[in-house]
Amino acid sequence: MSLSRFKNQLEKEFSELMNSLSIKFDYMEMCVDRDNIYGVLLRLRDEYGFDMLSDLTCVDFLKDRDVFEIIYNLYSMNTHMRIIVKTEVSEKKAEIASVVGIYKSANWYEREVYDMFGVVFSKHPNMRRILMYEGFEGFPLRKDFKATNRQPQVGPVEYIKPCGIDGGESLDRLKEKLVIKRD
Amino acid sequence: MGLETIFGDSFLTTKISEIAAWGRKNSLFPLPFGTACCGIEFMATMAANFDQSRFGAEVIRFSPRQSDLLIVAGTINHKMIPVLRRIYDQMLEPKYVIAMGACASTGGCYDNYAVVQGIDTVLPVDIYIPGCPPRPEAVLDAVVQLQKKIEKMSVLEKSEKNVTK
Repeated sequence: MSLSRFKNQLEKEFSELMNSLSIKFDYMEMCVDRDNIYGVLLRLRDEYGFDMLSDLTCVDFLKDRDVFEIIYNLYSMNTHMRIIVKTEVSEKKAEIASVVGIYKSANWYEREVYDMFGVVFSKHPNMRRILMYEGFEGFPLRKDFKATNRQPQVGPVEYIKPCGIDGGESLDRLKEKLVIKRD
Repeated sequence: MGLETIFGDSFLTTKISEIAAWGRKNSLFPLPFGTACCGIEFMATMAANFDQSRFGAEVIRFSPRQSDLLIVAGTINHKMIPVLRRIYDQMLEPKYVIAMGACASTGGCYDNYAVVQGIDTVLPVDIYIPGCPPRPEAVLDAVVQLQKKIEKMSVLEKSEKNVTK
C-alpha cells in the first residue's frame, strides 16, 4: 500500500484524536495531544500492525516554548513501515501516561526519560533512575543543567539483591528511600 | 614482618629492606581493572609483541585478595566508584595503584556529569600514565618506574600515600 494512500486512511480514522499528520521522507509523523496518547498507540498496534516500539525519547525546548516533546518511534515488522508519534508535555507539570501496558519495551525507555529529563510516567511499575546513581540531584539532559556541574562522591552503598522487572521486596525497600522530586 | 622493629633503624634493617624490596618489585601480581579501550591496550601489553613478563608482572590475578597491583584502565563513572573503592579496600598491604590512560588519570575528554574527574579523588595513585590509549611501551615504562619507586620504600615506615580529598 503506498504511503499517501495509507496517510489518507489514517487521516480519516484518527481525525478526532490527532492534531496533524504529515509524510516525511519515507515515514509518517503524527502529532497527538497528551491525553490521547494511550488510545492512539493502542489502536495503531491492534488495527494497523505497528507491533514494535523502536524508541521513546524526549526533546527539551527551552528557548521558544516551555515544553518537553516526547517522541514514540513505532515500526511494523510485517510491512516494514515506520510512524513517529509526538506529544508535548508542559514543563510545569511534566507527567504523562505510561505505555508499558501496550509495549513492554517502554519500561526502560521511560525510566531513561525520567532519569535524564524528569518526566514522570504515571502507572509505571518501576519509576526510578536507571543510568545515574541513586542520590543524584537534578536531571542531566535538560537544557538548563550546567555541563560542568560537580556532585559529591557517593560512598559504598549497601548491597540489595535485585528483583524482577515488575517489582519485588527489594524494590519496596528502595522506594522508601527514593522520593520522586519535581520542581 | 616484625623482626626488624627490634633492631630499629640500623644496618640490618636496610639490608632486610633491600631484600624485601627486591622481592616485591620483581614479582608484581597485577589486577587489571579494565573498563574501556585502555583494557584492550593492556591486553596488547601482556601479549607476545610487548611482553610484560620480562619485568616480572606476568601473573594476572582477577581477585583482589591475591594481587598487589591495581591497574585502573578505562573510564570510571560515578556509579562505578563504590565498586572500585571496595575492590581497593579488599587488597592486602603492600598495594600499588597505576592509573592508566587519560580517563582514569583526570577524566580525559569527558568533562560531564557522569565521569569521575580522576581516580585520585577516591584512591591513592602511585603512577599516572597519560595517553589515549597509551602506547604499550608507555605501560612498560610505568611498570619500570613503579619498580624504582618500590626500591626506595623501607620496610619500617608505612608508605605515605597522597590522597586528595
